[in-house]
Amino acid sequence: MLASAAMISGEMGRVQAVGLEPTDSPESFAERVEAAIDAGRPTLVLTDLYGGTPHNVVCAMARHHDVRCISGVNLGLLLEALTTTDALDDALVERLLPVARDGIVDSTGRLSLSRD
Amino acid sequence: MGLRLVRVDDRLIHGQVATIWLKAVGASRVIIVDDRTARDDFLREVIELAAPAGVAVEIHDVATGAQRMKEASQAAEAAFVLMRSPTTALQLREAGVAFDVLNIGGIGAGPDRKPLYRNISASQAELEAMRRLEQMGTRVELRIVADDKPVAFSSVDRG
Repeated sequence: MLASAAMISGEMGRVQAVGLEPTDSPESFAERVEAAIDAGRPTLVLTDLYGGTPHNVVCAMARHHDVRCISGVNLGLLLEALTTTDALDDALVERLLPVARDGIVDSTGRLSLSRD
Repeated sequence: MGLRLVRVDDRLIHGQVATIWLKAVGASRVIIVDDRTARDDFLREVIELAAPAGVAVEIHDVATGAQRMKEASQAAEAAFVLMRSPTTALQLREAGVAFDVLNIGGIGAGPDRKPLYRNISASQAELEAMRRLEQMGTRVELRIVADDKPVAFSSVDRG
């Protein structure tokens, strides 16, 4: 997903992907997320499944770290997050959520022409 | 109905995995036995947030969990029990909770753990807990997803 984002938006700022491996424990995964976040700066974390282990681990980290987690990541959301210059606050998160949702469309269903 | 599945998974409830297992065993109640989570309101909330809609979740320490499992084993409703480690399962068994099968679903790598089978690792204490459970009459089976065939712990234990 980062490679696709780079293809579209070119140079990317401070962004890292942290993958959950089949052999990971929640603790070993949390260590890699902690290594990836910038201590002292707010970090936006985008996870795929709501309720999945990356989501659960990041939510648990929010107690001690300045992280915001949005689940249901898609490329549209990632691009919007990468290109914004706004500070990471509630208002930014509120603006990002509809971007992610609006990227989910019944695309062929919108075609007005019927098939041959 | 009672206890439909007693499972070790160090991620506890996580995403679709919980949904699939709940469907596979026909349970709508999850009993989590984990001292650390039970005593930490913040972690409790994170776990409750991860639960699929319409599923009742209880989080208990070992003492209360043992009591709840005994009650749930007699109840009409089917329950699914989750814990992080086989050592917790042994504590429950020693507290008088009867269960015929312990499902080992996920134990990630850690500093004291060695690979056991596929992506499942175990520490020396966890291996010993599983051996003790087998001696006490609980069959320990490794089964990561519901579609997998269960593999007997005794067949992969080299200790």
